[in-house]
Amino acid sequence: MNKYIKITILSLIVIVALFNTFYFEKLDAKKERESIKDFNPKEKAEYFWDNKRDDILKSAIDLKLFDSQLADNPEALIRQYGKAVGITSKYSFLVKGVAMQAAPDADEIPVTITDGHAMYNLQIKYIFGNAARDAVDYFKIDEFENSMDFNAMSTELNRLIIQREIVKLDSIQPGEMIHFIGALEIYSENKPSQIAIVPLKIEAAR
Amino acid sequence: MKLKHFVVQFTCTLLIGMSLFSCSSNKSDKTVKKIAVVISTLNNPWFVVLGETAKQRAEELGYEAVIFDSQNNPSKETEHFDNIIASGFKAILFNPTDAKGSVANVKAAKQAGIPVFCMDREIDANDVAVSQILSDNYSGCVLLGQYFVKKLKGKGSYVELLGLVGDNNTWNRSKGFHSVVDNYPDLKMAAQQTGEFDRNKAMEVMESMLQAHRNIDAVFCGNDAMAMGAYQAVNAAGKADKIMIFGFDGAADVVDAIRDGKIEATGMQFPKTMAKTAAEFADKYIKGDRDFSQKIPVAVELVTQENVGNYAAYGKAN
Repeated sequence: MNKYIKITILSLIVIVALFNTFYFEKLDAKKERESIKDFNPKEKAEYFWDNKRDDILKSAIDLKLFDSQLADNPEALIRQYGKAVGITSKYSFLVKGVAMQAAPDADEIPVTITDGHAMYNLQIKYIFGNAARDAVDYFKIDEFENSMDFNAMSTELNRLIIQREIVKLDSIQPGEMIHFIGALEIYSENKPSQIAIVPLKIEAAR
Repeated sequence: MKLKHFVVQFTCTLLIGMSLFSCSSNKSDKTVKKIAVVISTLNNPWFVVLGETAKQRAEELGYEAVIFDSQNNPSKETEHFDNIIASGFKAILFNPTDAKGSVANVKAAKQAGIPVFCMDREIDANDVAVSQILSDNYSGCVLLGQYFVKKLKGKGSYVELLGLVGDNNTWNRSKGFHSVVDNYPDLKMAAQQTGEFDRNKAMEVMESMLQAHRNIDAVFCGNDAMAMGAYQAVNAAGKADKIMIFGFDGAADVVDAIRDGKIEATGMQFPKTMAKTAAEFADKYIKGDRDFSQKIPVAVELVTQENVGNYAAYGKAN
């Protein structure tokens, strides 16, 4: 009888010990948990830049088309091409165009459009804000643990723009033409006269 | 006779039972559902507006709404959640005290089947609250940073008053501001210290900073209460004409101070929009809707001495 009691107590101890030693978790949940813990905005931005950027930039609209639609029918322009994050009147767009390389110490390059309505400037010195992140529409806020991580993606994308695109201008002479694809932002309640474009891709038009 | 007596007794019992059942079911139909509004602190008028608007909107939607003040104290917040969970509230409109520390409270509410909707301040988790409606602090402070650089013409010495260090808003604002300002090497930050989003604390900190740094050109404050505290200190030191002050919130006294030329600019948040959205989401959830985005940023606008006419306290002018 004593023997049976001993076996039962030992079995219970083993079960309790095993129960506290192992646990089961879905692989997806584990990976997600680890990706949050190991959040690396630099790596995430570089992955986008190297693997996803070019495909996404194919959806950029011609700056001439953007300009004329902004003047004639901004609601339709926003509806068709605008991207917004949250409750806002700010919309981001991907545009492409041509500009002339400026002097080496310039902060921006003016982009001239024949019969254009607004004035556009390609930013080539200071890059900040969320225009690039929001216009590419690749990073989704709900996928980030907090808004600081989401905003860190803007910081990293802006760094890549300077390090990988704006640097290309060093080898282009003033007066030479360049092709660009970039991001811009407008507010639905007003038609701006000056619009800044953040470059996402720059190539010499040779 | 016995049978007659039994029939009368049975009928009476049945009628009383039916009337009691009817009373109790009428009562349950008429019972007003309750929504809790938990606010980090009511010691700041901005949060009073947030809480009162959430309460008012919940009442308009047919609920009884009760405001709880956490007094910037996470333990107090936990006490409120314990009471709310025990008291049969149907939803919580929540302004947390701490991004990490408040997660456990939201989890407890979720386990009790009570949906939580964060307002203005976020928690560091994206799977416990139903939705988080937040100011886009980073973008707002990018705008403020650009204006700051313009006003200082890209050079000078400045100090920064941070908010509560455990709050993500503090860092989103600071990082948005520095993402612009740090590009200008002639803009030097002489000191950076927390004023805990509090007017009196900010005034004390600013007084010390003025003693330690004689040539400050500007102050960037993580909220408007601190901007007013900084202004008091600067004014008392006789430097109100020399030092430019920048805030963030869109509070009544700062909008007035911008209009009077005492403060340069602020970032206008829209607490009423956030509070109303949270209350409406809670109503939809209670009625069965489950389709909500986890994070919803609300745009922040730059208010300066040039465009202050377009704005009133806590929003746009009518």
